[in-house]
This record gives sequence, C-alpha cells and structure tokens, in this order.
Amino acid sequence: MKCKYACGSMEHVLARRQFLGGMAAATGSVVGGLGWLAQPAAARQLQKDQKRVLVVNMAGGLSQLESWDPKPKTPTGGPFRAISTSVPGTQLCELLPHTAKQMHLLSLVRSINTRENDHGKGRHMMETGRRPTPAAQYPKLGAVVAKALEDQSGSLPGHILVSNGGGGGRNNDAAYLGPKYASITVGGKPPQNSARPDGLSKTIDLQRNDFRRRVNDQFQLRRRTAKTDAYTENYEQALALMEKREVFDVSKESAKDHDRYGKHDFGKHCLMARRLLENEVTFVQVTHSNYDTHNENFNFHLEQLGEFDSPFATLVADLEDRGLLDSTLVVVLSEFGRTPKINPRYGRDHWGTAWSVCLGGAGIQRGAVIGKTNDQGTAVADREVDHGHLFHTYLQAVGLDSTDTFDIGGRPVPLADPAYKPIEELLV
Amino acid sequence: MMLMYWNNVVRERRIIRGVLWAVGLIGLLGLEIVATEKVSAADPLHVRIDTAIAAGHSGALGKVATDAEFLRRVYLDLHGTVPTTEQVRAFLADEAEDKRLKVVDQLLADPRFSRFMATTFDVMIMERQPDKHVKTPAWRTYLYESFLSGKGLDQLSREILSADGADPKLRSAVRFYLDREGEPNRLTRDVGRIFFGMDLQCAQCHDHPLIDDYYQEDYYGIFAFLNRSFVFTAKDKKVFFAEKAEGNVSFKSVFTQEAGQSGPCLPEAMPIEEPQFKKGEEYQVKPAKNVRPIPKYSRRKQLAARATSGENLAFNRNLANRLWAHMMGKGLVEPVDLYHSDNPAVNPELMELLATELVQLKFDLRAFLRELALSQTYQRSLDVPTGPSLTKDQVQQQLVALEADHKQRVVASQQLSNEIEELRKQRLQEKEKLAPLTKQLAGLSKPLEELRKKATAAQKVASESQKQLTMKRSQLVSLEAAAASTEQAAKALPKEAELQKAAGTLRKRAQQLKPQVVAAEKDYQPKNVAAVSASKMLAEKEQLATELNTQANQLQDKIGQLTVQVRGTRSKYQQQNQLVTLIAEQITDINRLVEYGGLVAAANQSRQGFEKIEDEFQSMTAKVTSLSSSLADLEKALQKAQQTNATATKEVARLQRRQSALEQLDQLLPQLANDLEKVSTQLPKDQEVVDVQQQIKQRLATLPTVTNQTAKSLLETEAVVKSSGKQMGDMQPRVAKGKQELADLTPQATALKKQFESARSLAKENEEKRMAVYHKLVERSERQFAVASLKPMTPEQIAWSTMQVLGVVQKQRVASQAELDKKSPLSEADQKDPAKLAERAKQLEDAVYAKLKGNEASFVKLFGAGAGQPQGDFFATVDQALFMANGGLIRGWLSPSSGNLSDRLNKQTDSPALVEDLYISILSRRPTQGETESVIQYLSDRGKERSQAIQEIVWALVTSVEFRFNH
Repeated sequence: MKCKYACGSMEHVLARRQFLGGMAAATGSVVGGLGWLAQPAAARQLQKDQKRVLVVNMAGGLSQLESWDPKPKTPTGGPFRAISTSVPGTQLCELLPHTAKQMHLLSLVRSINTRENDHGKGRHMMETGRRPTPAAQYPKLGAVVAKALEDQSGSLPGHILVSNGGGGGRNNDAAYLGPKYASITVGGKPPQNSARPDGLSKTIDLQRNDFRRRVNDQFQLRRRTAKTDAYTENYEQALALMEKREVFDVSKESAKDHDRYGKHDFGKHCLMARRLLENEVTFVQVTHSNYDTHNENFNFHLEQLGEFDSPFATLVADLEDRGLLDSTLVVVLSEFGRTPKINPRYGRDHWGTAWSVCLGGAGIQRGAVIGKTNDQGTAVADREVDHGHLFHTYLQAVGLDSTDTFDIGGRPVPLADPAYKPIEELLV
Repeated sequence: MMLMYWNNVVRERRIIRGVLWAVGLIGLLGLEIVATEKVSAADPLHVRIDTAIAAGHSGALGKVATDAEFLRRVYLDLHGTVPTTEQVRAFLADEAEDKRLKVVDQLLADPRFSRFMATTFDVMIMERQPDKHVKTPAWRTYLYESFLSGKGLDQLSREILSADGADPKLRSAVRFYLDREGEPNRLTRDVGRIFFGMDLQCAQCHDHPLIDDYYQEDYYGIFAFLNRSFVFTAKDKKVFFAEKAEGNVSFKSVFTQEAGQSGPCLPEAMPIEEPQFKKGEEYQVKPAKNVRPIPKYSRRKQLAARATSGENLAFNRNLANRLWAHMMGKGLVEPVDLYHSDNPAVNPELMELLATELVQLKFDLRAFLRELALSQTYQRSLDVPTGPSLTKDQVQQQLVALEADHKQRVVASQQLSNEIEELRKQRLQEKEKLAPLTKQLAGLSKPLEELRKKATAAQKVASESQKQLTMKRSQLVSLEAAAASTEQAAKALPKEAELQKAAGTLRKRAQQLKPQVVAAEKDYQPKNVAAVSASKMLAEKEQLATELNTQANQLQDKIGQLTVQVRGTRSKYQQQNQLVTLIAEQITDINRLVEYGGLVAAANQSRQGFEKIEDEFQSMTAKVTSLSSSLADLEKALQKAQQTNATATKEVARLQRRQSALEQLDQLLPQLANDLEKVSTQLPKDQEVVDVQQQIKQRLATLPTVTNQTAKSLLETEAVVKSSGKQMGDMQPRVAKGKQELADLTPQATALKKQFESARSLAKENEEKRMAVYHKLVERSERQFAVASLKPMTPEQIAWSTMQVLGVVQKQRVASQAELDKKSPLSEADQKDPAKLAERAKQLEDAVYAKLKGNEASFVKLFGAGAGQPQGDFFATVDQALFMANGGLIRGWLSPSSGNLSDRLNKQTDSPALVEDLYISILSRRPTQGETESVIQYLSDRGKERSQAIQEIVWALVTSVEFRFNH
C-alpha cells in the first residue's frame, strides 16, 4: 500500500516533502495571520458562506423505537403509536408531534450499526468518527469543524458546548488540532476574563492597546511571521469579544421567545444555541440528559421527549425562517440506541446494533430516510452504516472534503477516518 | 553497517559539492564553503557546526546578535526565564571579550539550569500527561537531581527505558511507562517518537500509507520489546512495570493481508539474536499469584541497553536533534518525531556530526548545549541579511547539472525501491513456503509423542520378556551343567546313592525347565518384533521431523537473510531518496534566488516607473489645476462683468423710460399750471385747490434739476454698459481659449492618470510578489539556520519571565533569602567556601521554585498544548489574551507593591531613566530614542495619572510580540 510516485518529478518530490514535514513546518502551520502570511486554509473558500453545525446530544442512549424508528404493534414496539409527519410515508413515534411537523426539513438514518454497547466508547465513536485506541487521541467533531471552517475574521470561539454553569475554561477535546479548537462550556455566563476589570476604563484600555500595537509594529519591521500575526490578532479578537459579551447572555432574548422555547434548561439551551449560531459560532452542542432507561423506558421517554420535542422543533423552524438552515447542519445523535427487547423492568438496554440518527440542514437532503431495520427492529435490513460514515457525511454536508488532510505542524492528519466514505445519497 | 551508510551519505554530498565547485556555482551563491576536509576534528564542535551550516546554505548568513539579544536568548534557553535588570546591566557593561562564553558557563553551573532542564525533559518525555502512578513533583525531582549530578542522557534514558519501579532510587523513572498505563501500542508510538524521532503510529495496521520508510514490521520491531511487559499491582497496592518471558508478536496488514512475525528490532538496526531457555528455566522469579515475575532475559532491558549504547544512530540522532531544536527553535529534522527520507535532516552532515559528537561527549547535556550556545549559528541576529541575486544565465549550467543528477537519483532510488519490493516479495514467498512446513511440524508433534510412548512401551514389554527368557535360559544352562557334572560324579562313585539321586533330580529339573524356556522364547519373539517395528516407525517419523525441521530452519535462515537484505537495501534507498529530496530543495533554492533577483528587478523597475509617472502625473496635475483655477477666476470675472452689464443695461432702460416720462411732464406741467390758475380763479379760497396748485408749482420748479440728474445718470450708466460690454468682449475669447486649452489637455491628463494608476498597481503587485518570495527566502534561511528564528516561549518560560520582569521573583528571592539566613545563617568562613555557597544557591533556588510554581500552572493551563500531544506547536487563543488583559493574577502583579517593577518605576522621577529601566527590565535591552520619546509622550498625555500610565505601558510591553517570543 505504498504510494509510489513513479514519475519522480521534482514537483512530486517537493510536494511530498512539503506535505510530509519540513517545509510545511517551516512555513508555520498556525491559523490566523494576514494576507500572504497566512496559510491557504480550506476555510478560505467557505468564508463567503460561513457554515455552522448544531449537535443535539441525547445523552445516555435515546431509544430509536420511541423516536425515529417506531415499530408499533410488534412485540418489540412498546406501547406508543406511530404518527404521520410532514413527509408523506415517513412516520415518527407519537412522542414527537412537533418534530413530526418539521420532518420535511430533516432526514433520518435508520440503519446504524456501531457494534458498540459501551457508553464511553460509543460516545467517542459518534463524536470523533473513530474507534477509540489507547495509542492515539482524536479530536471531536466540534474541533474538526471549528478548525476546518474557521472564520478568520470572527472573534467568538468556534466550538461551544451549551450547559448549565459554564463560563469556565476550555475543555480538552481537540487532541492534535490544538487548544485553539477545544470547546468552551457556556451556560448563562460570558467567558472567563472577558469583563474589563474595575478601574480600567474602555478609553484607557484602548489607549494602552494602541501603545501595544505601536510597540509591535516596531518589532515586526524586523521580523513578521504567521505566528507574530496570530499573536497580535489574538488581542484584537479579545477586544472584539469583550464588545460582544452579550452574545453569551440568553436573557437578552425576548420574553416571547423564552415562552416559545420553554423555561426549562433544555429550552433555554436551545434558545442559547440559536443565539450563538446567529452570531456565527461555528459549532454548538446542546445536551439533553438522560436517556439511559434500563428501568421504566417508556415513562422516561414520555417525560424526556416531552421536554425535547417542542424546543427542538421550534429551533429547527426558527433556523429555517431566519434562512440559517441552509448553512447550518443539525444532528440529533446519541452514543447508541436501545434494545428492541423490553427487559422485565420495562426498560430497554444498550444497543449499538440497529439504531437511528436524525439530521438536516446545510448539504443534507430534506425529508429523506436512509436505510431501514427489520420488522421488529432487531437488525439492520438495508444500507448499514456506522459512526465512520456519519462523520464523513457531517463534514461533506458543511462543504468540506472529508478525505482531505490537515497539516498539523508538518504532520499530515486526515480529517476523518480514511477507511470510510460519506453517505452520498443523503447529500444534496 | 550504519557508520558505513553515513559515510556514504557524506561522500555523496561531497560529490554534489564537487559538482558545484566544478561549475563555479559556490561563489555565486555565497556558499562560503570551508570544505569539510579542511575542518580538523580537533576544532571544537561549535566551530564545526558553523562550518557545516555555512556549507549547507545557499545565501548570505545573518550577522551576530547584539549582546542584549544574546543574553536574553541564552537565559531563556538555559534558565527558562529572561535575565534580571541587574544581569542585563552587568553584561552590557562588561567589556571582556569572552563575556559570552563566561555567561554560558555560569548559566550551566547554576541550579536553575537543572531546574529548567527538568521541566524541559518532563514536557518532552511526558507531554503533560496527567499523573497516574508517579506524581509529577517526584518525577521532576528525579530529573532535577539527575541534571544536578550531571547524569549522562544515555544513562537517564536507560533508567527510564528499563525502569520497573522496584528500585526505590529510580522509582520515578518508571513514570514514562506506568503513566501511559503500560499499554504496549501507546508505548510503541511514544518510544518511537520520543526516543527515536519516528512516529510509526500509522504503521500499526499496515505499512505507512504516506511515508515510504515506515513499515509495519518497524512498528512491531519496537512493539516486541514492550508487549511482554504489563502493569503489575502488588498486594500492598504498589504498582510496578513487570515483564514476562513469553509472548511473541505476529501481525497482519489490513490492506494486503500479508502476515509477519517480529522479534524485537530497533529502528535502523538489524534484528537481534535472543538466548533460548529450556522450558521452565526462563525466570529468575517465576510468575505466581501476587508475585512479580522477573525473566532471566528482559527484552525491555535490551531496548534500554541497545538504544543507549551509542551504537544506535536513530537514538543518537533523535536526542541530538531535540537538543538542537531546544536551542535553535527548530530541529534539523522537523517535526522532530517525523524523520524519514522524504523528510531528511535539512543538513545531513551536521546531523551526523551532532549525533556522533553527542556520543563522543558521553551524552553530557551541559557539554553539548555549551557547544551549541557557543556557535555563531546560535548567536546570529534576527535581522535578515541581503543576499546575492542571481540571473538565470549564471546558474543555467549548474541547474542543468543538478537536474540531471536529480533525475539520475530518482531513477536510482526507484530502482532501490523496486529491489526492496522484490526482496519483500521473495521473503513473502519463503514465508509462504514456511507456513505449511510449520503447520506440518506442528501437526507432527502429537503423533511423534504417541509413537515415542508406544515404542518405549513396546521396548519395555520386549525387554521384560527378554529378561525372563534370559533368566530361564541361564537357569537351564546352570541346571544342565550341574546335572552333567553330578552325573559324572555319580558315574565315578556309583555306590553313592544320594549322588545318584541328586543327578536324577537335577536332570529331571532340567527337563522340566526346557518347556519353560521354549515358552519364554515364544513370548519374547512377537514382543521383540513389535518393539522393533515400533522403533522403526518412530525412527521414520523422527526422520521426517528432522528433515522438515532442517527445511524450516533453512527457510528461516533465508527469511532472516532476506530481512537483513531488506534492511540493507532500505538504508540505501533512504540515503538515495534523501538526496533526491535535498537536491530538489537545492534546485528550488537556486531557482528561487534567481526568481527573487528577477522580482527585485521587476519591483525596482516598476517602482521607478511608477515614480517617474508619478512626477509627470503630478506636474500635469499642477498644470491642469493652475489652468483650471485661472480659468475659474476669469469666468468669475466675466460673470461679474456680465452681471454688471446686465444690471446697467436694465438701469439704462429704466432711466430712458424716466427721461421720456419727464419730457412728457415737462410738456404737461405748464399746461396744468395754467389750467389750475383758471380753476383757482373760479374757486378762490378753495384750500385743496390751493394745495394742489402749490404742489404743481414746486414740481415745476424742481423739474429741470430732476431732468438733468436723470440725464446725467443715464450717461453714467450708459458708460458702465459700454465699459462692461468691452470687458466682456475682452474676456470671452480668453475664457474660450482657456476652456479650449483645458479640453485639449484633458485626454492627455486622463491617459496619464490611467498610466499613473496602472503603474501604481503594478508596483504594488510586484512588491507583493517580491515580498512573498522574500518571506520564503527568510523561511529557508531560518530553516537552514542562516538567521535566528523567532521561537515562541514555552508556557513555563512565559510564566517565569513574566514573574521575573514584574518583580515577583525578586521579591520572593529576597523573602526566601531572609528566611534561609535566619534559619541557618552562613558564618563568615562559610561565605568564603564555594561549596557552601553553591549549596545555599541551590537551597534558595528550591525555596523560590516551591513558592512560585503554583503560578506556573496558571500559565500552563492556558498556553500549554493538550495532554499527550506534541508540545512544540504554537497556538494563540482568545482566552490567553483575555487572561493577560483582564486576569486577576497579572493585574495584581502590575499594581505597585513594595519592591515590584511598577513600584520602582513610580519612584523614578527622571523620565528618560524610567524608560531605560522599563526597557531593560522587560525587554532586556536599552530603548531607542524614538521609544523613549514615545513613552514620555504617553506619560505626559496621561498627566497626573502617572502611576496608572506606568502600569499601562508595562502591560503593553509584557503583551508585546517582542516579549512573547524568544529571539
């Protein structure tokens, strides 16, 4: 499996050297920077049409049977009915009446088999598109898109997890892509240190920054590189972020919207997600917890999805109304599904064998259903896919070439697991 | 073998240089070659480094850095912090010629050096992985003490690579293994990366898809040293890294399904022969429940010993390269963990020299870094020298030669690559032959065992029977002999009845025994046959096994030989391929210099063209402007005349109308007067009539005056009409002429403007093109270490430097010093004892470090890369800037408190002295005139808020690029 360059031309040799180390490192693979100093990034071509990603993580393992792939009136189907949706022929579980009305905007993949029933591993696979190995760490989807779709002019962080509390530091989920693309957790509070301290007025702050710029201009006459640009640009971004602190304050949204999304955490988080996406944050993840229903699966899903359904449907509809859905990929995922077999405690257990994901927006077809499971949902019957295919699909949907490679300090690293391909028929 | 290989590389490079010499390129390129041959091995390493760097670079070399620049750099690289104000002042004031050498030696002797190296090696080896079984403080102390004691890096590596955690003195050394959970794949990756400079991770499941030199068997060569090891938890919960005596490695490519087995094998070395032990005799301490096994032969110890023996080139090169990267900002091989022939050392001779010399210096860290620090290469300035420019004609011939050489080597390396594939194919075939044999042999072992058992049993039965037979036979013989002799005696003594009887009995007994013998013979015969046949069958099978074994051994030998051949050919391929890469780069460099010459010329030309057009355009603009403005004046005057004329003409008409009215009045009034006279006679004493009569009389009286005045006005106004009419007549052609002139000039001016604009954009475009290539040249110069590069400070360097410049360290030193002096005062005699003073220096260093290391953590959290990731990649995040701008820690340090920088500056009333102190303290250099003025201006703008203003300026300097980077 060696890549031999039979022609051995100079261009090939140098391209390889550039690609495989040395020179690429010498040009300084830092992001940021200006004009001719910056590396040509994949992001460049996308700048005009900034793409975004919203992930709703149904933590614990959402039951596909009580949501995207109902099997009513079968031994495995449970007590709930299936209802029609805005897409003729596609049915959802009756626990999702609001979402059902938005299905013409969304699509389903009903044939996922990840062969993994462990929470941690399943989450890792769905978030990184790869199987965990002790020998390597992989960046999460948010870090990959934050880097690949980076908006050079943006001042807000590109990778945000919405959660209670928040306002803390960055998380460790960007692996080799570097801390610049690691997520920050945001609750109601703005990021750390984003407020000007008491006793420092804005005028004076701008004055000292002016002085700093003059000192830098002087030094950069001697040597200016992509790194010095990234460093100086960073302080400008900090100043810009300080001006935009309100983006992180969901209470600035109207009372009417607060009513529409609901007063509970998930509703607030969905509204916050909308606010962040509107402000061009590249990746936003909202988590809804907890679906790990080994006991009383049906009562729990009744309760949980009752909370999920309306704010989620409202968010999708709002994104569409505001013209954002064409540029925003929406994914509702989980670490796995739940067993068709109902256990004696009316629960369903971990099930990576045949389950579903709902997604839409950006380059995803609208109203499509990919793959299917058999009558009782005990196996994939058609078009089996797993975390790897889905990860490629997400990247393609936001206009990236998922077979492309990042240059990380001279080390070539594929965006997604090279052993997989995207689900082509799901893409527009 | 390896040495030979490297000698070849050097020879090859000399050949290339020979080509260059021959065609006279070297002078042109500014390749100041001091031929390698001329450099004496007796020259110190730092001289030889400079020679090699000069030889490897196609362009001018940077000049020497200033004292201030050098001092800041060497403090950061050896102590991890910028120097103090006093240290800068003292060094700048020192006029000794060898002051740089002295300061290097002084820094190396200081405990702070060992401290910083402990941090550096911790980050290099552990990459900020979280603590698991060994705590960071203990591990850092182990490293710190290792460096204090001057332990060689070979020994340190040996201790780490062979560590099992059992020796209390070396307990912390096991952190490398244990805190990676002892997972063999993770260890294989990190041993490869950190100790051999090769990231083989992508070769775990197949040959590396992107890197020709990385094979799956290389990965498993390292893996085989480690896969027998495991994390062992003793009964008392203490954790060790134990090892078993068994566990072989086989692997299969997920791409080609080709299977392989691997014994332990280091990168760039041959497979090793291992001692064989009889079953049951492999252990010093046998594995059992709650017992940590210790094998007689430890593969991990082999890894440690073989890597650090000085013979393994990959190990030596990696270490030398990492130390070089520490000092110079980049490795000769970069990234430091991605060495292969498509990414060779940028200067292979130098790489080889450093690797060899590191061994010569007995892996002495101080001695090696000292040589690097003393080299001119290390001490170069950041400023980029202007190099020579070349024309295409000057290098045409050389390029042709290099390109031909390149082409030839591409073919040669392709051929070698084919040979490798051919050899691997052959080896695969042999493996395929071996596989059924191995299977057959394995299948034989059970039947053989059974046959052996059967033969032994049959033999036993037969020999038992034989024993019986033999016994019976000998009994018979004895009886018959006894009977015969008794019979003889009886014959001689016939009267002896007893004798007669005895003879009879004996004979009878003998007769009785005979059938027994026959029976025994009958018993033995078949048993013997069975035994013989069993032995024969066994012998046959054994023969088969021996034959198969011989065949298998032969095949294995052949596979072994082929493996040696593959490795040998791979070395040759790497050597050839690295030259392909390097020559291609050289060609690119030369082309770029030529291109740059052209771009400079084009940029100059277009700039000059632009300047010329600019002059023309400016004079044209001036001309048009003056023309337009005088035309405008003229038009204004004309307009005024026209206005005057129009007004006057109107007035003339009015006056003429008035005149004719007056004339009529002149005729009417006398008549009216007469008529009124008549009326008044008819209506005397009518007051109204009298009044009217009076009025008319008056009018009549004034009429001539009015008429005269009107006539005069009319004359005057008519004169005005005439004169303004004349003015108009004069001006109209002038205006027309001016307009014409302007119209005539317009196309010329428009064309010139267009020319001007296109010249301007051409100049801009050409300048941008020049700058783009200029930056590439600078990058190449940096890459070849011809100029200093900008090194981003590490998180620890930022932390300690920030604390240093803001006075936090000094305050702590004073406090700790006082504490120490109080706790254990030094006597006068002590103060003259260098050993005591050194001890006190270490105590002080330890105390200050202990107090301030918590702050270090705040910076590491923000400026450090993720755990387990390479830590050298630069990144800038908004939260770093927010921390520096608004964070409480920095704010606290900035606000004046007794003894810190802001406090000291506040007390300084002389502004220039303040600025000098500011720049020396923060940027380790004196300010320029302009900088001094700029700061004084800022202070004066802020008026009475001087103390605030000082903090603002201190902040601006601490957050500046100049502070953030080591240069």
